[in-house]
Amino acid sequence: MEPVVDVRGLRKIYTLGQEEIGALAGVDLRIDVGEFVAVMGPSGSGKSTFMQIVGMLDSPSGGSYHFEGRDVSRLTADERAAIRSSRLGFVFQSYNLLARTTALENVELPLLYATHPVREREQIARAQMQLLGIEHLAKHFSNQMSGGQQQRVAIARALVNGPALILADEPTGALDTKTSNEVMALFGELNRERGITILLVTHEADIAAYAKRIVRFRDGLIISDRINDQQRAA
Amino acid sequence: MLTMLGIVIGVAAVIVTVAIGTGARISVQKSIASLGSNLIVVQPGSITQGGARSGFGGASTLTPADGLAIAQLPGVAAVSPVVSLRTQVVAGGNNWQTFVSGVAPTYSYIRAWPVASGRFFNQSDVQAIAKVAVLGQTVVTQLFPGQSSPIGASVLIKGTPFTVIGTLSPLGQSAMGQDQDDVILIPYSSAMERLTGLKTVNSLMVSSTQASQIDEVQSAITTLLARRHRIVPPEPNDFQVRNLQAIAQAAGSTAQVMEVLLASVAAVSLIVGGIGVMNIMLVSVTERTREIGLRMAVGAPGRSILQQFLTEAIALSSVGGVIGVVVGALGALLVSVLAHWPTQIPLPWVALAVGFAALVGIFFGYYPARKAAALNPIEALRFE
Repeated sequence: MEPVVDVRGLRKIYTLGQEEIGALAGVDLRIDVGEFVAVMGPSGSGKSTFMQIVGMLDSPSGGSYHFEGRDVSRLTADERAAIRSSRLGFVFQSYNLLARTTALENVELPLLYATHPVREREQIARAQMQLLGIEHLAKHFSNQMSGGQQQRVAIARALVNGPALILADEPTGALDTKTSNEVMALFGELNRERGITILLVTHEADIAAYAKRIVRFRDGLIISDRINDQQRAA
Repeated sequence: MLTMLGIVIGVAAVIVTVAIGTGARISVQKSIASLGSNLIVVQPGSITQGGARSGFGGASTLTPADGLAIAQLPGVAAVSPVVSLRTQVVAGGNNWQTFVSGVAPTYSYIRAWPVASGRFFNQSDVQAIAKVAVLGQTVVTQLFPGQSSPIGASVLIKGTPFTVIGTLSPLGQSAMGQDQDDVILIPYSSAMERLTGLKTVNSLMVSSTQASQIDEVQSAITTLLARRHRIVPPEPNDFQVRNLQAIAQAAGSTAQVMEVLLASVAAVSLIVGGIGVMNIMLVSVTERTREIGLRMAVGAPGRSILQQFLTEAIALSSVGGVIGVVVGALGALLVSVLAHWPTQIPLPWVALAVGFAALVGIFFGYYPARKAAALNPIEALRFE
């Protein structure tokens, strides 16, 4: 089976005026179907840049990136958008739910760009919310929900297209410990029971502990890559 | 919503100016019509005597009876014979050369020329061949200088004393520069019996009920008179029927100039409104940067973002346009109620204003929409 993500010698250099800042200095990583990988590292280690490139929101300065066997560098902007809409799901630290919009409509959003018919959209979104046990939030607006609830809606949104990979960027960064654990337990469950591949970016060790595999970044390079034999479940 | 204000004001301004302009145009047209755009003049034709052809009016063929027959035609509002002569008139110690016109009581209506004081002569004056006269303002000032009212005084016309029973309101100069107030009106019967001694009249003035019917009325008169005068083709008609359409055309071109002026006012205010929409859309793009970033992250291609913002701009300006029409209509109503200015809102302008507003939305919405679509999703997501 093709790996979901396969990067080789990935480099990224930002130019700030005259100065060149190397964010990634040659990263090799392969993520297979069904993995739950946590990327850890201090600020400026390049983990966020890595995530953005894997999420096709940014392009690398060098190296190769194959997503499900397709060479991403050969894809047009529209093709990358199509992959984002059908094969990738994003979960952000700040939830990024649309204001003045109900939870259900937020969950439906990716379906809008995957050109599903209107009626189907609502059904799929509702079904996804039911799976996560948050169907009672369907009519709530973003500002009527707690952080944990909002992040669950965001996870439902990320899952609604049946993606190959969920990219979670500090998903618990804005949550208290108890809610953080609940959200991380949900990720673990999704990975275990539904076989969803997850790439998690965090700088907290106890959050990373929910993953099966932990990759550490420093100065744009991978300094360790090991299987987490003490995976937390709840 | 505040965002639509520019378009609302723009469209409302267009509607109000157009309504006022159209109202003004219609009232101008009305007054021009009353000056004679639905006026038809019947003159005798030319005659040839000893090889010399006289001009129109040379033949003496029209009679008051022709006028009565014309009055029966459909579309004819009023008819008046005109018997005119230029002569010296005397009143007290003053004398003055002026035009004396023998006309019917309907003449006042046909020319839309009311009396300023006293009264106009009536049908019984005509039947009685009464020696009564109505004076134009110029004649009043020349014959009765410094007197408060000439009514009741006597004016000698060709030796016959006529009693002044009224004065005409001032009309001013004609389009040809002629002083239209330099005239004395008397009953046509009196003019024929006492002054010219002829059985024929110089012309017949006909007014049609509507300016639009003028051509039909004109040809009906031609047919009727040809029959009455027993003209057998190819014999030429011994009369000439003409109308004053030239004046109506002048009015038409005035109206056109007015419309062009209004159209440019409309364009300017709508463009100003459009710039307002662009500003608002730019603000909206900035405010919603995170939303745009998120939409891109969940798979919206650039063109979807472009489409979304363009649609919003168009919707904004179209709704603004519709609200503008309503506000404009209310404004026009207010103007006609408070300023007593006749206003009228022409429907094509309403459609044009809303359509143009939508167009403005496309034009000025495109730049902000492009800007939104070109955003970098990472930066957009980080944007605070």
